[in-house]
Amino acid sequence: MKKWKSNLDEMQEQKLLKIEHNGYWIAFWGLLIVILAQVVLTPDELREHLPRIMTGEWIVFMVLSLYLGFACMKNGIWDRKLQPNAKTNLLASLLAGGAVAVFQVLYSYFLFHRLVVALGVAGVSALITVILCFLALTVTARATKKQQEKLEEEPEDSAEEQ
Amino acid sequence: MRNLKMKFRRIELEMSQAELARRAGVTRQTIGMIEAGEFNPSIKLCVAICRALGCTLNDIFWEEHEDEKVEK
Repeated sequence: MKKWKSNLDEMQEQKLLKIEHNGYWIAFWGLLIVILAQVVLTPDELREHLPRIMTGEWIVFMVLSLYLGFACMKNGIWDRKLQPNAKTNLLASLLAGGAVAVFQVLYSYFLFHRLVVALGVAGVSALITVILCFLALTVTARATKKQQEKLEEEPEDSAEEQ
Repeated sequence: MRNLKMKFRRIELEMSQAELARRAGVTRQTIGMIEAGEFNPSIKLCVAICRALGCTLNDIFWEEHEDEKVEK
């Protein structure tokens, strides 16, 4: 099959990759904000239909997240700065738990107007988030390390073929 | 196009891909992909590889065209 010739030179190709990279993150954070806004702003009478209302956004958000996660794992890539170890996984999980706690305190207080209830809901949500995040990060870190080891194995023909 | 010059030079020095990768500050897979012609390295990485192999950019990365050979 004839390969289509690119109209871009190397610099333009890199610029396009950067633009696509920015587009990805705009879509990712935009969808997350939209999902959270829908949770907060949906009127009480429509609240029971909330899962159906935000199905589309949720599916696209999960596809984006899973694609990024699995593509990185397949290529043995974890993070630019962080190492896939228990310490950083715990730190990231605590950050996620903290973010959920802040959101839940505000949201629950907005719904129930009782600080004790809001703090209780936020505490439980944060704890569940920390546990689930830590488990997910531990499993994916292990898989990424395994893939890194596989990719770093010297191929048999690398010292032959002279 | 496969970079056989780089591969031969590495083998000449009895260096593994992993060792060259360590000296050039990249992963083994990057070296493997450059040798297989599946990845075009930046000039910066080319220089690092040449330093690790003790040769010049010309020795490893320069491809002469047929017409250039005739002119000489």
